[in-house]
Amino acid sequence: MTLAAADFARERPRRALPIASETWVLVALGLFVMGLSFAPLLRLAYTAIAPDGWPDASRLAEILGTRQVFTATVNTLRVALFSTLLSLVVGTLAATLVALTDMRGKALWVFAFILPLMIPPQVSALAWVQAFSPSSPILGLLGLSLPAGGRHPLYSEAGIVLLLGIYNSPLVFLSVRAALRRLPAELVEAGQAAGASQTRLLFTIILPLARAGIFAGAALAFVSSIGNFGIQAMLGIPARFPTLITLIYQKLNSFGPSALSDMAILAMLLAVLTIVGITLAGWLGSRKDVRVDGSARPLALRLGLARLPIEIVAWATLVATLVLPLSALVTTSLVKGFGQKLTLATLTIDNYASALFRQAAIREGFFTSLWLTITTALVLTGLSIFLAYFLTWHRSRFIRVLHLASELAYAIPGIVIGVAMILFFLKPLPLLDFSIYGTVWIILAAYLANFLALSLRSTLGGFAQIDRSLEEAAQVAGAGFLRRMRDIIAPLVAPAAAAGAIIVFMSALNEIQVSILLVSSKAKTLGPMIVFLEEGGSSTLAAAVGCLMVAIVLVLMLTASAFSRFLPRGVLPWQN
Amino acid sequence: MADIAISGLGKAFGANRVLTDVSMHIRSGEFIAVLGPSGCGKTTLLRLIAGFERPDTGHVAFAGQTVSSTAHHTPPEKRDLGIVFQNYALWPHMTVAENVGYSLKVVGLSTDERKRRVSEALKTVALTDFADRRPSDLSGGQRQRVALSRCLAARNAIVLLDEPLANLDVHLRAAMEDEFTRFHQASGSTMVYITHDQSEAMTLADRVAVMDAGRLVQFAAPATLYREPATEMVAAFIGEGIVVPAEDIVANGDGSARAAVLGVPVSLRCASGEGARKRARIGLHPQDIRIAGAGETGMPARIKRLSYRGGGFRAEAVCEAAPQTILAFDLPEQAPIAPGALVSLAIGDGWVIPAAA
Ligand SMILES: Nc1ncnc2c1ncn2[C@@H]1O[C@H](COP(=O)(O)OP(=O)(O)O)[C@@H](O)[C@H]1O
Ligand SMILES: [Mg+2]
Repeated sequence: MTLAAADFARERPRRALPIASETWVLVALGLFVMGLSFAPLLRLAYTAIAPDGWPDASRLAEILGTRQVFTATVNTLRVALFSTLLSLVVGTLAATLVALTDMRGKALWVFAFILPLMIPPQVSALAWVQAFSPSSPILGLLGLSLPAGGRHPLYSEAGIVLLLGIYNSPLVFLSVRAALRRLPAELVEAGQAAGASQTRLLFTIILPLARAGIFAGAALAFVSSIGNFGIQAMLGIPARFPTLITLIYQKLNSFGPSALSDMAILAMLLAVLTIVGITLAGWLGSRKDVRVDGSARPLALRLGLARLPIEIVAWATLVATLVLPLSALVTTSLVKGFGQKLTLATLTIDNYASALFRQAAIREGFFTSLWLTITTALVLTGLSIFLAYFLTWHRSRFIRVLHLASELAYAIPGIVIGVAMILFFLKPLPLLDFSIYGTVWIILAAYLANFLALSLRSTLGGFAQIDRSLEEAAQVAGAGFLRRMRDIIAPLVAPAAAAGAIIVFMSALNEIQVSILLVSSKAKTLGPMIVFLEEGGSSTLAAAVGCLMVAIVLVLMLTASAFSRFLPRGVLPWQN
Repeated sequence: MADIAISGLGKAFGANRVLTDVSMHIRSGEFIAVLGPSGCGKTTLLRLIAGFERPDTGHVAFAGQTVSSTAHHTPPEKRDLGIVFQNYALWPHMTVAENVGYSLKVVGLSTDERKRRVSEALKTVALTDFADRRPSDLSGGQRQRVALSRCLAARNAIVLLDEPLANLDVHLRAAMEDEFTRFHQASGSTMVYITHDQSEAMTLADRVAVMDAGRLVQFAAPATLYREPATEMVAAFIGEGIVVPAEDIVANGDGSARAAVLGVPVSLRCASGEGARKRARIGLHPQDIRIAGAGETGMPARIKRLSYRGGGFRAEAVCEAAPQTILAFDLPEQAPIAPGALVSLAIGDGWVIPAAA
């Protein structure tokens, strides 16, 4: 058989672009990330430091020196620190149980343990408030009741710490579990061979080795607490317990001549606290970082006789922290007036009908949020595939700066992004000559900036699983950059990118802290709706909206789980 | 068809100089092997030829057209070459037929023509029945053949192979070596085959380029490498080579020379330019060493080890005069020699390694 050497390949017509498509894509990525994630933050810093165009330290000192700001800062740090301690204990215990022991029913338990992290914090707060209100339907069922007329027990610093601690425990859990899974089994087996008891092993070998993961988890919990608007606002405002984040929110409502620059200074302070927290934890975690080789085989320490009691405690904890508040929420959503007992006579679906059909504002909120989150997820997924491509295979200083900018915009509290966006987009856009402030577009811009890192992380996980030679093989097959992206790379990272899209979708749908400052009469999103309804006294309606949001979250989580076998491990946090 | 001209190629990653001044000319349709120990820069050379890396110095030309130089770089997708990757790099989301036909699709060939070429290529590697399978359903050897037929269908003028047998079981290798030879005959491509296994290189290639620490040390036919190694490294690397010191070398002018090896006069081969030298190194193979016959002067050596090699023994002996040099040679099965015995060894042939330039 002879194969004549057809030289078609060299004669094939090619449009010779003066600049390669890679370059265009890089320029577009740079403009996007720098323009949306970085420039607004720069604008924020500028306004905070130089409100009138030149550095003004006296103004900075004046604002930061007020008693109000001092109290709010101390309060913020207190709730963040105490709730982090709580998260640390709960999260580490949970991770130890799941990663190291022979506890049964782990998959379901993990799903339920992570669930609170996926529920909007303001919905959780609402559920807890209703569960512990004097007229609580649930406590009533249990035969307990709180004295009527007294202050609500959760409207207090302890209440905020408790809820933040529970909300952030899954963050510590995920980080510690990942660290424990990387732990080489040989080290533990060597300890066992040396005769150490299981408890001793845990405290002298396993947990010290997982230290980096524990510190990283603590940092995440700390940062997340500082920036958690939903819980701090729902409990802190009625409790008259000011924190930085609620102070910023209240400043916006008191729109005065200097309100914007005051907000900028407070937002900067919040951002600085966050960055200090991350840096400190990063430093603590990396100190004496032990890198050991070995196979990361799953460990299964035997719980023995203690297994059943431990399992009972583990499940009881979930009932108390998840089932109890959520059932209060469901109950409230099914009665006509807040505080009514749920009986056949009081049962109604009126609240749901109102939320979905009658109240135009809520319906609009649903639709605005839906298209905003879908658009955000789609745009960011496309962007992440390209960004992750360059980050994985063509690292340059430029692309690393983009990565850093996206991580920064994710790490600092959403409300800071909100302030930055207001400052950046208040003036009319050049050329277009109109301001997007007060429209949905500014919310979209904030979402795109804030959630890029989430989508990017998941997609990077997908790239880590692809061998570079798959792309190179397509390259020698003659496929140009965009063609390879379409035919080879996109299909291969699709599962991870889709998981990222779902996580972005859920985060954006749940968020409140980014859009709370950006919503207007023309642009309402779902997240802040609950706060407004509850503030307006429509608790049952708020509960119905909250239940609908939890339902959406559950459906999304289960949908994503159904495709989990196509995904790299760890992309879906709620999977064991 | 395309020849490959490489000249003065150099590449460093940071402070790590990986390739230094590599020049070679690969003729159109030739099958060459690049041979060298792991880490000597073979893969880097292949990636430079393919265009995945850019050279620091020198240039590469295909069929007279410069594709890589410090000033010009043709991207890999425009070089019209095929690569068989060590891990085969088959796209898992495509069927075997789609894998094989992808480059044709990229070029925009009509569906009919594409189908014809794909089935032709699959027939050549005997995988017609597997056209609709996914790569994950194939064995290692079958994946290898898909990777080959991908180059076959594309009719690449140049095919680069990077240690294609490294991931296969030993018993599959011989069969795959035949596959490469058939592929070469069928395609007529210029082939560059990278390996660290000298027997693979010697079996397959028309010529072998031996590399050491980023430099090309010898580029010649297998028999030449075996009989006339250019350096000590080549002499030791090829065919279980042994390098021994020699003294008082006198060339006869006809390609033969006389010298004293470990005190015993022997007759050797040498390069035509060779004159008289006080000291030199000699390249030998086990086949050149035997027990000295009666009346023959041999060098006294002690047997250190005997290992059975099916049909005979491989003996390792050491001369008192040069205790570091292990002289390996073959003994028939009936040989009544035990380890520790003193023997007298004769050297039948050897090559005077040219003085380093
Ligand atoms: N992309 C790279 N960056 C840095 N160093 C590299 C890179 N590729 C190869 N090297 C180094 O170049 C040397 C030669 O590598 P390689 O060409 O892969 O050798 P071989 O294929 O002969 O085993 C090695 O020391 C390797 O670490
Ligand atoms: Mg290599």
